Amino acid sequence: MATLKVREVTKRFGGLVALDRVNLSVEERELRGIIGPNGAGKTTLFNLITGELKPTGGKIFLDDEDITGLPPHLICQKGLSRTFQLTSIFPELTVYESIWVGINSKRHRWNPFTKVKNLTDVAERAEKICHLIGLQEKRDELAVNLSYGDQKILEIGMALSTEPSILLLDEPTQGVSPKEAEEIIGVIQRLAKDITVILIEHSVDVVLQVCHKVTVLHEGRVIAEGDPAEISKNEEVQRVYLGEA
Amino acid sequence: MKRGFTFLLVISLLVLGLILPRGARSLMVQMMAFSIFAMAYDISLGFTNQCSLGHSVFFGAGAYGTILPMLHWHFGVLPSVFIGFLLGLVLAFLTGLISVRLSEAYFVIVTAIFSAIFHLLAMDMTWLTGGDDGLSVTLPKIGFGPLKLSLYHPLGTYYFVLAFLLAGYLALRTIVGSPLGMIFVAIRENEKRTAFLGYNVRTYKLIAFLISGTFTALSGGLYAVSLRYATADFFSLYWSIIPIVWCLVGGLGTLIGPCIGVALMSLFQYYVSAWWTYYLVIFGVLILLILRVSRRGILGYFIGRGARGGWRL
Repeated sequence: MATLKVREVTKRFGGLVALDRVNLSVEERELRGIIGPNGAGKTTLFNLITGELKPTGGKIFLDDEDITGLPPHLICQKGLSRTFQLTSIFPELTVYESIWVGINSKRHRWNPFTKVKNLTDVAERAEKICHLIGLQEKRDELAVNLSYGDQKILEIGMALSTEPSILLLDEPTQGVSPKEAEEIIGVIQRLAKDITVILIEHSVDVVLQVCHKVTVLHEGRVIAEGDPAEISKNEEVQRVYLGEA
Repeated sequence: MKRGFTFLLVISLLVLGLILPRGARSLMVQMMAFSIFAMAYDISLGFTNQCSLGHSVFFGAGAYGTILPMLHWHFGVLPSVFIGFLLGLVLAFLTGLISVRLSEAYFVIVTAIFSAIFHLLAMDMTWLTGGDDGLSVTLPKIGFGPLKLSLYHPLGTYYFVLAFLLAGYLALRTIVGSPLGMIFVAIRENEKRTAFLGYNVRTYKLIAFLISGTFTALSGGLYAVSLRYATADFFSLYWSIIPIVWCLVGGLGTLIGPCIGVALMSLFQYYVSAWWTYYLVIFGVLILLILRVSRRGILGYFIGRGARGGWRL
């Protein structure tokens, strides 16, 4: 069971209410989309769930375990992994090494007396992930030398390398070419068969096309939730997106 | 090929001890002791991106930790060096606990403050440290069963320090090539991402700081043994800044690089200072030129594209 429950979570930055009593329930193996206009609080929600920020109020549960306010590395150890809106990679590590670091974290292998290449189980798994995300031919390329689209894919691979049960993707197709975006969406769809994925997207089309269920945030509040067909018919959502007062 | 290169280097170091004239040999001894310092410092700066200005604390502590037991309790040289090593570990732990929680600039400032505090203390507590005048010590012979090694024999000190340099290099190399070393590099490359991959970054930074501080103390102890002398001056800020220069010039994020930095700086100091007092001005310009040509120092220039492979060397 891997379920995420966000209960009445509020986040204030001084006088600004970024999130206002947000509720969210994500079931196992769901592919959930979160959409909303700029400043709706999507990334803030991710930052609260993954421990980068502490909520002002409310609770977050992973498999009924309270994870509110835990530090990021513990939340990651519990099986929740994320990518960042602005790519956050290891510039001078290769693709393979970047993924290697993530895999190693769950196995607690910091032993100073073994050699990196002697850990065959970590190596095998790293190769597997390189294949899964389709970067096996670029495995020895430095991350900084990859195209922006490939960096985005590498980010997903790194998030995946910690063997999460829930994966949070923050705008994985932002700023990449349409062809690369298609590749990324392909990767996400493959992943969603095995694990729970929560996807923040700016492009409504992508979300409506691939997600099982969609949550719409606006000004820090959930204004709609439902399957893609319902959401595209929802009047309030249309109003928010088309900007009619 | 790299293995062959290392082998050649070790052989030439072994032979150099025999053929070098006296002056050059004692310069080599000093360079070898400093090389341990430089490599240790790079674990902090080049591998985990912690720019410490507090390493003079460990250098000085290593020197006194080694000299004092010999002076007061007539300990042997080896146990004394070990005590200096342990003292470095303890101090690195205490200062590290406070400083690794801080980010960048604050880390630099707080470690610099540690350096200042210890320097003042050492200058003031003359009953313990001898202050500016320092303490001299007579080195007992080192016994290996029936064999006795005297560090007063010119070759004795050379091979004594060389043995520690090789052991220190092997130890640090093993760490750098292990999963722990990979985690260090990941922290250097992107601290936040490393935390979000499930690592407690603070703990690993402390581990790096401990390793760095401890080996710095070893270097301080060996330097004091080679001089048969320690002074409160070993705690001064100079000994916190000089390793940064070594690492920058030689190549950050490598182990051999900092040693190249030591060699260059020491040779420069030795030969150029003889005819011009303000030789440091030239050296400053030289540093700028080297870093202008190669941001990763001399070794970084030769191994090509940056730190790639650097952490393996």
